Amino acid sequence: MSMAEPVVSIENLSIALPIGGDRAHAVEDVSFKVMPGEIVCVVGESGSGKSVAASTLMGLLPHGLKIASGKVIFAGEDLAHASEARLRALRGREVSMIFQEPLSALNPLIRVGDQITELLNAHGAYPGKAGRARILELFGYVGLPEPERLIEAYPFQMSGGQRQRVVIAMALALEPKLILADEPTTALDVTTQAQVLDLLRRIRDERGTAILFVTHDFGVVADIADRVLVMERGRLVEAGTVEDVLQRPQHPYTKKLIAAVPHLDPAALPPPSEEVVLSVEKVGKTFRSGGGWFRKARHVKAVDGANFTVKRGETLGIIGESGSGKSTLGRSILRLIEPDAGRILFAGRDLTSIPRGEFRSERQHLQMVFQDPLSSLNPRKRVMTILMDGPLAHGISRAEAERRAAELIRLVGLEPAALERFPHEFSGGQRQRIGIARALMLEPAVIVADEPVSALDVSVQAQVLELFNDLQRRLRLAMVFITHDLRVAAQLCHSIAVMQRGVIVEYGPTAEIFADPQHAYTRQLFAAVPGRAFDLSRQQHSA
Amino acid sequence: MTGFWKRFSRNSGAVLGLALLVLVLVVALLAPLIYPVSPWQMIGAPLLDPLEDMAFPLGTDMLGRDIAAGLVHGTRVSLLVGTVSTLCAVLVGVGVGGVAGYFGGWIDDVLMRITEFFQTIPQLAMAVVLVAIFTPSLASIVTAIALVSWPPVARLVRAEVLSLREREFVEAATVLGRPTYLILFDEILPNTLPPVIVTATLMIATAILTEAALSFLGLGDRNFMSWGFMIGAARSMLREAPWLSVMPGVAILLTVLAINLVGEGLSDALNPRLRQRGE
Repeated sequence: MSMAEPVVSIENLSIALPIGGDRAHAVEDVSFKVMPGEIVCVVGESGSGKSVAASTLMGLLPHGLKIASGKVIFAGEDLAHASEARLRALRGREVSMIFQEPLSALNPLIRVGDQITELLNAHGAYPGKAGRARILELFGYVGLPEPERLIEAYPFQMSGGQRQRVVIAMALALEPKLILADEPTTALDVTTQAQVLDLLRRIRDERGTAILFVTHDFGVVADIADRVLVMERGRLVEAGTVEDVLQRPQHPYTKKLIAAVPHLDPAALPPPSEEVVLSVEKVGKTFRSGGGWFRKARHVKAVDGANFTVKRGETLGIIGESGSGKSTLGRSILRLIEPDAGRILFAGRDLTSIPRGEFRSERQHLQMVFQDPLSSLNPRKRVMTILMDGPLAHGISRAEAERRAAELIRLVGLEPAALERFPHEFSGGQRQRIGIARALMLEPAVIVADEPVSALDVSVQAQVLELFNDLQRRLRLAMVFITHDLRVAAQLCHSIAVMQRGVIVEYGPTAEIFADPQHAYTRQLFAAVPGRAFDLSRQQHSA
Repeated sequence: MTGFWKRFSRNSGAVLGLALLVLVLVVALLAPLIYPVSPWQMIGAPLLDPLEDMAFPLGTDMLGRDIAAGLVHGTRVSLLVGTVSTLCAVLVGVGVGGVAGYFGGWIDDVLMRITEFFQTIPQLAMAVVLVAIFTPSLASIVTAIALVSWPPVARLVRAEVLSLREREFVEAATVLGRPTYLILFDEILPNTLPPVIVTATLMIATAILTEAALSFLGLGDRNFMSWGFMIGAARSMLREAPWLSVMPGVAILLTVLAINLVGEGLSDALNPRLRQRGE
């Protein structure tokens, strides 16, 4: 290994940010090497400069950024000073890239086969019939079913996982020495993610391709990395083998990040009371679409016969992958979506029987925390107004609303001065705190939280989860917590309901399901959670 | 606000346009002080060339009316018609577009068919017909221009509302139990303002042109001097005394240009995507 030449070596690289940014350099004095046949993970939170550092290898720096100093040596050549024409010749052939969002990485109007042909033609490789054969071979290699059929497909006709396999096939087409993968599994479901990670490992082992893998997820790092680079605010704070960095982190920032990853074993939570607040009985929702004079309408059962109860002081986790109907179910409870079957009982009364016009006064008992903390706050309103709108709509006096706002903003861990500011002046975690405060303003009995931490960085996510647990201890709410992340559910939920294609396939106490999942799909979900080996070792360490 | 001004002033054309517009505004406000005598008054020898008699620096027309006084007083009509008709059109457009976009369904269908009906008729032709029916007066001109110019605003606002309606903060307002009218007027419509302001600025320019065209065709309000009337009256003298048409033409050109420049500057300053790139 020591004799081998590195595929790429970055030396003292600094990239300047435009004047007026929050710091002088996006990347500051960073040096690292990537050897053939190894997967190097660059880990960091948003804004750490991890993507920027990686993009220098493709000569694809974001608008407004410039390399201030340092070298990017690739096969003896300094890419930091290479011409645009030279970089173009290297892209795709020597270095290629896998993007985060395969849907936007592919042209929606061109058949996927033609998109790869275009790449081959641009580099004059595999001319004529050889091109098609090459693409079929690649599609087979990345595990796409029926390559002959999919080569003619448009991106929208494929699933997210298939699209990402197409992007990977395209990245492999010219046998590059190095593949850059920027959060390639972040947009995918866990089970698909596990398959894509398998594929990348196979590419490394069988083809000896070096992979520079940018991610924020330590579970993924534990599963795939040979070596790890940890970045904080543009600086490389720690580098080492995956065992060293994960088991024996040296830098305080690395330690903090690793500690923030939620454990997969269920946390001890204060027990709920016996009083059932919310009970959902055989709730269903069918979406109809595409019906016309000559076509039959398409029916999709988004939720089918969902049953569960939530007690006071209990947090119920609804777990599922995208399209499982978990958000539809959550929104049905609040009648943001009208369920078309079943009953929803709140404190013994059937909410679904209340006419839509009269439901407005019931809303104060049932509140929601949204996924995207930015888009769920009106950008043109001060936090004070955002918090007071709800109480004022229910006839609560202005003085009382102001008093609650001042109290709650402290409860969620913000300064009272925050009330006078606009949403864009806050960080993502702070915005989510405001969203939580807003939900609590009406002193609700039920809170539905739809993926409230999935848009946040790990360390912020840990703080917000802590806040949820703290609030639950103090306020004893009946909470429905929708998430795709089993780790998050383990830290927060008394019981969980696992959804697959609109149906709750398993429902029970968290500890029981985590210890012994019954349904095949639940087992599949557990098997796909990234970083399980890492969890086992963490348990041994703490034991 | 300072950030807004910083982004606006980055566009030097916009600053120039704003300066020009302020100048036009000042002239309009001070017109009775600068030229206390009515611009319709025949106070000089007819057809004086510019600079020929320093009492009439821009010359006189075929009836001996002061061109400079006409230009200064014409400013008032142009700006008045431009802003008032645009204001009316924006109010109608925002109302129709907002309701159509938010409620959807048959309400949307009905309102949009009405909007399209207005859009299929050429703007100027319809304005001419309307003013002719109502008999020309300042009020009928403003009404006619407003009636022909609201549909683009309605379509713009409808499109904005359609996308804003799906945003989570609107769902949040529903969950909080806010009444429907507040969700539309307090949560959604304020967020459509940036593009509407930009469109409105450009509409003022179009309204000024439409007013000039109506006056040119003899459908102006005879109680007020206007640029369009001056051009219309001077067209028979185009070869003998071209400046009679050129002067008010230049005034229209500069005012409309200024408003367009300001509109473009506003568009840059209010567009969040460009904003991010700059900062």
